[in-house]
Amino acid sequence: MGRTRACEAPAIGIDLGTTYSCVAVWQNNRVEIIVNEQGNRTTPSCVAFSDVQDCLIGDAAKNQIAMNSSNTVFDAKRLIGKRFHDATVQKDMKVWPFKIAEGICGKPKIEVSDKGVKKLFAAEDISAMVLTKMKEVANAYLNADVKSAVITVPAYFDDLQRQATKDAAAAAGLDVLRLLNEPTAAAIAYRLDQKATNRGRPINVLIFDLGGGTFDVSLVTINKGTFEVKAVGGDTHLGGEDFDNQMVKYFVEEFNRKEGKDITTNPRALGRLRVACEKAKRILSSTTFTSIEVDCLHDGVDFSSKITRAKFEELNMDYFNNCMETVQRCMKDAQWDNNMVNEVVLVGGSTRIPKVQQMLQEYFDGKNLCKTINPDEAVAYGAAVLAANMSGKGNKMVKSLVLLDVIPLSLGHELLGQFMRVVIPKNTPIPITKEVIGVTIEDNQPSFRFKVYQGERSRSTDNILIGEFVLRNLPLAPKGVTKANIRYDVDADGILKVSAEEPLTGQKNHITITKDKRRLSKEETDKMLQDAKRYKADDEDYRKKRNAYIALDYYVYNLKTKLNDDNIRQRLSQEDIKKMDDVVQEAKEWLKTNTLAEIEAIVNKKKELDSKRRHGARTSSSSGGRPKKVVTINID
Amino acid sequence: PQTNISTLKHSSALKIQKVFRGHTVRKSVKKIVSIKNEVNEIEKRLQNDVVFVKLLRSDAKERLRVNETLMSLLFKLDSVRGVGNGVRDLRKSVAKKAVALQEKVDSIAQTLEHDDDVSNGDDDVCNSIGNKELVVNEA
Repeated sequence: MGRTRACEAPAIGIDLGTTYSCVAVWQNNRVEIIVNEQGNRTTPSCVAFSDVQDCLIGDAAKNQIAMNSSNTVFDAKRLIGKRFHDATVQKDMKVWPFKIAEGICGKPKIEVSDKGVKKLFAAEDISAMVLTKMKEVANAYLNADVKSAVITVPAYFDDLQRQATKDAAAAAGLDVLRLLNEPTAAAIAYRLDQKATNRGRPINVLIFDLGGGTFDVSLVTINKGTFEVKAVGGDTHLGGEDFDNQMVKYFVEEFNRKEGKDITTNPRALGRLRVACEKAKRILSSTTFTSIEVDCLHDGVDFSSKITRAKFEELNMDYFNNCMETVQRCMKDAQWDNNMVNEVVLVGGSTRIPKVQQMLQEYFDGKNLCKTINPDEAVAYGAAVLAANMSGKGNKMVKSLVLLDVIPLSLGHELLGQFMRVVIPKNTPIPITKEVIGVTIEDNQPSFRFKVYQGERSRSTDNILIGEFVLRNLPLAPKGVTKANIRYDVDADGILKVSAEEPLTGQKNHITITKDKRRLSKEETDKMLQDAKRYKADDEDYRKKRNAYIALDYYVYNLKTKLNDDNIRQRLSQEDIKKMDDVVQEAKEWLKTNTLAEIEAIVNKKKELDSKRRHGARTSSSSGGRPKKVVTINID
Repeated sequence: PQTNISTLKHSSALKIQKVFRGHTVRKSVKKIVSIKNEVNEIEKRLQNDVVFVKLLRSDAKERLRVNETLMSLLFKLDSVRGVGNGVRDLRKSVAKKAVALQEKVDSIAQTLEHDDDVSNGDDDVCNSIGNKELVVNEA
């Protein structure tokens, strides 16, 4: 199937991880994980600079890490899209062997010496090098020139981090078909989207991702192609490396006890012991007992010992308990019950540890865990499926994948009376385009000012202003005659473009809202959604008040228009006209100064005007009658 | 016939185990020998190549490079399974030499003296290999 367009390079899926990255492709009717030139299915996300040669990426960089630690950069994912003064950056800086400097606009820069020259790199640059490496790995395997990819990011990545990841991909010469959330990718890998569609009702999935350096729990609800992340939790510094460290500590003590020698002063011995421990840890996932042998570990003394799986579990029990507490906390955040979870997906190499699986299974009352796909590769696997889907490849299953991202908060602009006109409601799948019509609110209004907001509140100013622009040189016309077509465009990556056009003169203007301005952190989004709930009654009041205000405004406007009508003027006495003009003028002033008046005040004002009108201009009522009450006048 | 089948089974199992054991031992020995050759190469350069030693003395980076080469050889060595005592001894002798060479490189930094007391491991290694082959054949 995939062979029909063999000449064309397929799109690939890349899992850009903190410690390791993985690349996969849809080929020969299945997902293939692409091995690198070393024959490894994952490649370290590691870049090394040196004084004599070009920079090294991947395994080569990782292999020389001890030799050249200050010039070997890893963990770029912890840095990408962050600010130098962020607490996490400040904390991580203390343990990284490479130097971080503050660049322009507070951007952290990694300082390395490349061929003897001091250079500053942004985290994006490092990620771009890793992505370039992954691309080359794929190119070599496919014998083609790969152009496009689906790249995964953690669900909690904010907009800056996502944009930075995209920038990195662009620098690596990759066209990003889609940035995909890692938990979503894992769910796709297990075809849970299919399950959800077949069932006809949403399914709840817990994704437990315990990798080399990070631990993430995500609760996702899958419903007809939408993947809604309900809660995320985890520990950015918990993973397989910590388990290795615990074992190393244990054996250092044993060596000390047996031989009376302390090896902590010997970094080489520690390094060898660590490698041996990592190997033992892996073995203990399939056997209950293994031995460790290191010749000439320290002072010419050999080290040989045994460790059981039970001992390994005991050493790391605190970590495992932490993991389960995080799961519990997440479930509480999402207000899920244990039996509401339909599937539990394991991702990350450390989920091979039997104890971890057992604890999870116990927590979910013996539920079967999804672990048929290699946990190191599940994310890349899902990314490759989406990449095939988006480039129109793959089998029926792949083609049937519908993945909809949603916008987290409603988007709209401000109308008269600081009212938020929602154009795209929240949870609308993207990409989406919507058009609405706006009209002038004054006679001879020369320009439209569009203030674009996101949020759920009725009053625009309670929401977040994300951008504004002006459409000028409108044709002069009475209120409500001049129109503008307002178009909202949200592309698949969530980038919003608002454009407005006056159809008669063809005047145009638009704004592209930079993502860093728009997307909020998870906390901020949650707060906004909670506020919206909390202030629902307030918002209802505001809506009523605003409707009353608009009605009054319209009423005054109509009155004024009628008074300007010569036909009517002729029928009125000079005195009446003067009186009415005064009334209208006074009402207009009142409207201006009382934009935030209470609803009673507005209604009273209208009654007052009404009685004045009846009283003062009997003639006018015969021709015009009572003006119609119109609620929304300047839109639609 | 019962005993016949059981002895046949027994001898077949023995044969399979013997061949497999020989295979794993040979595989391990092959790996160790290739590592040993690399270690010897470094040792030779340290003994004979005056320019190289001078470079090491003056350039900390170069020292680090040699040390790390030795380190990665040690890692490789550590990952070789110790099938039987013979292989284990062989592995140990190479590890010993690599560690000694690392220490030597370190000492170059400290002393200007050129001493060559790390060359005595070579014969042991050869002997071990000889013994090893014997063991394999016996098994």
